[in-house]
Amino acid sequence: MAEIVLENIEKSFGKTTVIKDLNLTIQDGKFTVLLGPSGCGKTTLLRMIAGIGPATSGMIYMDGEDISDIPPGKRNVAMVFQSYAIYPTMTVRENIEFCLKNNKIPKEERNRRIEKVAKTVGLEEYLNRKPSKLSGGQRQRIALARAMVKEPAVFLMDEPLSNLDAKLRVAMRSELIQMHEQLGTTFIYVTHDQLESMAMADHIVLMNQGKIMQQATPEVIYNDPDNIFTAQFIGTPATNILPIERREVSLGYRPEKVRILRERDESAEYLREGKIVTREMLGSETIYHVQIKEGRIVVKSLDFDFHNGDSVWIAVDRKHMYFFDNEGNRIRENLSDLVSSVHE
Amino acid sequence: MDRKAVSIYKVRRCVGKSISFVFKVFMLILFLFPFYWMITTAFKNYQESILFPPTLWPESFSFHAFIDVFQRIDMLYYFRNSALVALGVVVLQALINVPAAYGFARYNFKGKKPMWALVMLAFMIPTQITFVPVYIMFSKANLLGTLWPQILPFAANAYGIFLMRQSFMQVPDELVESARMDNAGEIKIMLKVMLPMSKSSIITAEMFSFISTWNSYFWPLVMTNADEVRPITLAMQRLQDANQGLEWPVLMAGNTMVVLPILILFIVLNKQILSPFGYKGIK
Amino acid sequence: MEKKPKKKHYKWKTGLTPYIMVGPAMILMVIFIFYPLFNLVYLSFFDYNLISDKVFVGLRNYDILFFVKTDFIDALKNTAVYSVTVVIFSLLLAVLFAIWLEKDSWFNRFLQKSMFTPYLISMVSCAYIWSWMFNNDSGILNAMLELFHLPLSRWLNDADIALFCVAAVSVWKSLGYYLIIVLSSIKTIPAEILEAAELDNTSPVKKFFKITLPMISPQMFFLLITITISSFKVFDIVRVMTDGGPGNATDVLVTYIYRYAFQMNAKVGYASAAGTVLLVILMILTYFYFKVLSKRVHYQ
Repeated sequence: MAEIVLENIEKSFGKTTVIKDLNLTIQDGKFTVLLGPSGCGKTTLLRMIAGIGPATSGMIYMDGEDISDIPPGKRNVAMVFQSYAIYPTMTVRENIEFCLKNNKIPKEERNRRIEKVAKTVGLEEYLNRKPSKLSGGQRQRIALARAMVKEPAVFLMDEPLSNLDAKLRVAMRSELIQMHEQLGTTFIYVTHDQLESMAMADHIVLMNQGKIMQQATPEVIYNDPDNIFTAQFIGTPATNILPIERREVSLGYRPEKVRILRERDESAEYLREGKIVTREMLGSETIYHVQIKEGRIVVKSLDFDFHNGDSVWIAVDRKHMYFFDNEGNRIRENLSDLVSSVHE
Repeated sequence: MDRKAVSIYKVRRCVGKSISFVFKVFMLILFLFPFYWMITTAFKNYQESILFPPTLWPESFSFHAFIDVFQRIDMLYYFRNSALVALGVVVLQALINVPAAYGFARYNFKGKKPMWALVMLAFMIPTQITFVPVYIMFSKANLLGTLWPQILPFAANAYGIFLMRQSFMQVPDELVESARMDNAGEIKIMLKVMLPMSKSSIITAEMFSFISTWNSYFWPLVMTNADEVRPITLAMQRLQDANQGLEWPVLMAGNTMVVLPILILFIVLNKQILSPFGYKGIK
Repeated sequence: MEKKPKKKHYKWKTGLTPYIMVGPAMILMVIFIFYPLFNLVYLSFFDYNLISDKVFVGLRNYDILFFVKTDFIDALKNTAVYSVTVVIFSLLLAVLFAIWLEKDSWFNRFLQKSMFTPYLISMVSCAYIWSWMFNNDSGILNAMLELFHLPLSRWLNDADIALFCVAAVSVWKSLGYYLIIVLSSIKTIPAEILEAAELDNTSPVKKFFKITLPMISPQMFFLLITITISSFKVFDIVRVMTDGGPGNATDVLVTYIYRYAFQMNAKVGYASAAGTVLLVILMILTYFYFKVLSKRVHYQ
């Protein structure tokens, strides 16, 4: 059980500064996902909390206590590495036991914990095997078991599912959610997959270029983006962003919120005439690329009856329209004027 | 293609293969015959050994030469010297080179670059250049009558450090970080994580140190001034000049005893010995 | 909230650990390699015989080496001829054999291993065996010549060929090692590249020069350095087989230094001067290789 506070964190590798003046609070007991494109600094942040890649400057607190100087082994955190980092020369049992031995935990207690963890992750039969004899999914479980057996206050996970095939990944995803519910400890999970983050997180911290772009629950981050980056990073296909003539403002709306019509719909706040350029039938839904006067937009629709070259009307309701200033930040006030300016 | 051309092609291939095979057999003889010749000469008596043309198989077949070797010099004593020196080198190298390689592979510290440059420089400087000053050093330290001059200068081996550093660097960083998170101290990380993973290259480096020390001739020649501390390679010389007319069977008998242990070692362990060079045959 | 942000700076905390690990090796290297190296150059400016006091003579030793005596120049020439012979034949034969024995068959493997065997045996033992085979009166090589009714050779006693006999034994001893290095580097070339070349109708010769050789050039470069350096420090084999003779036909740098330092009234200063020359040669060679040749080497 622990709350983690990062204060004025800065990190540079040589001359390049990756993270500058970052502040973040990670809530106790929550499943927090650090999300962002590669190179955004999310793994760097995780490694700081773990204590294996110290910050250049700044403070890290765990439950109010400064842990910046505490070595990684004494922080009461456990980490699951992307490559699992399983010790290949040790058996599965030795891998799981390594930390307990280092912490001088008595033998009976060790055995009890190993039995319990092995049962939880389903490795009981493999305890005496060498990791090289096991499959990718089983190795993933060793890594998890190794973290769980420590009974840490915080679990750190660095893209733990990225080396698994698609099917196993989805299965492990729900297992991890279950595991979090059972343990109730703080989870910090790093991923670049927005879908994964939406599926698993209580709280998403979206990062880009060393900065936090937005942090909120998945619902808020999807429905109420603070900026263009968030609007476009979350959801597929990405949010349409169109410039508004004679104003330094742009308009955004999600492809799945667009209504595509044969006839005009006078009730819509936003209405454009367009022509379908391409059509991708995906089964349950269809993606259309539509040419309108401001540019080309993407529409996701349940209706697959439209075809290339068809003339259509597209409509968006007011509650689904986002306005951004020229720095990409969301405009939340005095919208009536803006809405009427884009009406048709 | 017409038939004739195909058959000419086939014949040419066949002839080519035969020539290649004959030449291979010739190469085989070139590389193995000297050892055969050494062993068979050792079983000849003196009269037979100087026959011209020589006999390919010892007709006199005697162990006389071997008995002679033991009568002339105390072979076992020199074997013991060789073994002590080689083991001394191997043990010291394990204690000194392994941590050094580990330090260079795993730590960032002030002065690392110039120190590594020194190691690479040391790698380039052969003992044949430094032997005179080293001799003076040991003579001043009054150590020439001991085995130390043959052991100490090889306790730090630049090539060994280089090889082991390579293998330590191949261990993924995440593994070390993971061990740190598992509250393992530096010594534990080294002993429990890194060493087991680099075991084979350490053994290889040590094995080659052993063989090259066992085989050394130049260094003990210049670093010893008494028979008591000389290794077997030098003792052979005494078989040579023990007699006016060189008795080849005796010399070859002594040589056989020196060569045979390593020859057998190679026959038994050839796969392990060749594997560090990336040598792979079909399993 | 009004608190000024606390700032803290961290450094890599490695402390003394790496120095403790690296230290012993560095100290030993300084004692047994770098200090002697320095001392060697220092002593080369003195007249010194281990017993009496050192007398500073400036460049006198070098003057004697190059301009007064002729035996040093002879040793230098012999070493150069020996090295060039060994380097050319070792590299050429290693590559030729590697291509010839590349195919994986039990016979090829057996041949490769047989060729490797002498590499593990001491140079002294090999030298004794070959001395016996080169023997004028009852050696097996003259017996072979006799068998084919060819004129007999005096081998190691013939000043014109003795050095090449020694070089031949040296090549014989290490060829298997070089062969294995070349073989294993050829095996690291991705099969697709060679298959693509075959589909492009490349002749085997062209395939070798345009693909194989450039791809294994780093290893060839490594071998070139190793063989040259080991040739310049040749000693054991010369000492056992000819001891520099006949005359000084096979006298090389290290036998020369050894003779003056340990046999000829311990002329340590003079021998050090000769050692310094060897050092300079090795340094120039190393530098030359790294600077000039590395440009042509293909690195993946």
